[in-house]
Amino acid sequence: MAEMNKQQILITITRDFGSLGHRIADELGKELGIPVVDKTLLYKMAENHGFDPEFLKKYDEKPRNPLTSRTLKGHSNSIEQVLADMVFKYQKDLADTGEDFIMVGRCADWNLRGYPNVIKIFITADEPDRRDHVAKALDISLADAESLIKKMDRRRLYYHKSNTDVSWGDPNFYNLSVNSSKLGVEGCVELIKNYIQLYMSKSQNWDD
Amino acid sequence: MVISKIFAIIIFVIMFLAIVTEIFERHIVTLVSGLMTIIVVFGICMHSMDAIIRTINIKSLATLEFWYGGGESSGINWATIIFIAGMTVMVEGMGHAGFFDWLCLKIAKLVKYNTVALLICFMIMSAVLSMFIDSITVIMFLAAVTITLAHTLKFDPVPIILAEIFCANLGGSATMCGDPPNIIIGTALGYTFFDFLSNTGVIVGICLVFTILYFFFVMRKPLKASEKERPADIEYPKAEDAIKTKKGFYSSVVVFAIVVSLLVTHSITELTVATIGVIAIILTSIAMVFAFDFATLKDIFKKVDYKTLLFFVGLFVVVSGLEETGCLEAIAGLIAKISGGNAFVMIAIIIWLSAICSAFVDNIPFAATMVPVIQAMAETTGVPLANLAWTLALGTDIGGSATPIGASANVVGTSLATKSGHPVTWGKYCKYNAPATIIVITICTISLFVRYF
Repeated sequence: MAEMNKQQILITITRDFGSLGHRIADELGKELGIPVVDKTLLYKMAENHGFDPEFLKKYDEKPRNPLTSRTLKGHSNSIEQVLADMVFKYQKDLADTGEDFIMVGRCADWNLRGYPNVIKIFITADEPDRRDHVAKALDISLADAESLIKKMDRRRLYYHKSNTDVSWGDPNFYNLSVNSSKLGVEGCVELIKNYIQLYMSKSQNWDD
Repeated sequence: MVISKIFAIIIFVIMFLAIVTEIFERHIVTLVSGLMTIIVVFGICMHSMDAIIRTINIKSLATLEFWYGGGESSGINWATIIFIAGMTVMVEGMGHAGFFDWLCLKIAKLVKYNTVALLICFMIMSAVLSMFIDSITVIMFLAAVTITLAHTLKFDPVPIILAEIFCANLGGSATMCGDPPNIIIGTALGYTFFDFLSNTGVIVGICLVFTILYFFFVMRKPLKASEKERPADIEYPKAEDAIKTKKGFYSSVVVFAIVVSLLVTHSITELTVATIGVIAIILTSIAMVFAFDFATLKDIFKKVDYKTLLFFVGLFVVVSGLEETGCLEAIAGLIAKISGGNAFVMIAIIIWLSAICSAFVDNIPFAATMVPVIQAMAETTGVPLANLAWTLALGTDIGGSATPIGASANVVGTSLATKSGHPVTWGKYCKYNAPATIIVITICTISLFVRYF
């Protein structure tokens, strides 16, 4: 990708739990030759600030509890919110380096919306497929997978709602919404790749 | 008039819930609620232009008593707003000059960076500074220096920060200007700085001794242990490096000394806190232009938290809605009924109710609501108003220490600790500060009984 363009490209992938969004991001990263930033940013922040990475994972992509937290002059006692703010700063720091990258989840779609050449992608899948994917990946029963999907959907929805001004999965906000049940991982990667190439050739922002 | 009461309560409850959920910024919430109170409660339900005029209270600014002499106030408490604005400008000036960092680092050096001594000194400093300066500023500087020292000296800063937070809230309850609830109580009921100091101040002094002992016994072991891990070749931060310019530093210290002197003597000089607030703004402006330039002064004014001042304006209107419709008299009557007119029970109810409520909700709206309640209680039961006022001040200020959301200093302190890589969970916070709050509120209750009965 770096050879194909002169300007930075930032791809954000927002995904329903069990929609294979993460795998699609990984494959897309490999195809385009650009890094995928997901949980890895937590490790980087843990290293920079002296946090225990396992502790951070507990609060990652979790909304603050309005009943047990308060915000004042940009300070919050909610660990979830402090972590979210640090993640958003780190995302912007990364974007400011001028490098291309794919950012998975963590409201990057909203946080990086002001940068030129941000492609915002939403990935979903049909309910039965999501259940199958989760059950297989975590080696749990279908019933457990279903309740886990409900829990994670609710968690991501509130996380997104409390940190952005857009609704989760709103097609008006995303450049491309893809259902992985119809195309599979490879098909989705191909579609997104084609979209990016088309965007690059059509975009007025592009120098080519 | 039942309908006006119902609407006043509905607006108040919605405002409280909206503040808690933080969907909108809190100053927007109180301003909209205030506007609704004026339109719906005073206008549509009561048809009372007088109630609106009394609540807006703008005429009071043109009276001599507002600036000199003083007296009780109702409606929007402009004296509180002007005083807070003045103190904010002064404190921003002092922060810009490097006063707070210098003070913290100087004390750390004086105790030779011994962590247990640091804990005790920072606790005392937090309490003393909070008597004159808002606790958020005190914690912002103290916690930041504690974190810097913790990284250098290799100790866990969280226990010290939690102790500092507790002492900031405790120290704030000692004086009229230490904590917003006290400013509201003092200006609304016409009490002076010295009235507070000689009543809540004495009790806080006793509590501070017990607080230091509590945190000393709870935290000395882990702090002592950390000293063994301290590297030998440490480059300690220099206090002098915190000072931007000597001229700025000395100017801000002089302004601080003058303002504190005016506060301590305002019962003699009869200057009101509103006047002192204006003097603080004028003196800081002169000092900043003298020591730095106009651009610095402009920056300092930009840092003033205007949103908090607007928050107060809206809040006072909503509370006036409850007051004008007689809701607060009803609450006062209820407390008097439960206590059976017994002053001991009344004091116990006020202090523990204030403490428990302040542990979970913002203590500023609570105090603003309770002031007319204790006024009505004093009138109907004959219990001296002052006794109820000191009880309310101690309960609201100290009760806020029990949880991470009880007071502004708690939110700022725990946030700074978390950002530095030392997360403070609810469990960790309450483990140290909830028992301390219960102990101190118990001491306050006993002290109030002994002193006033």
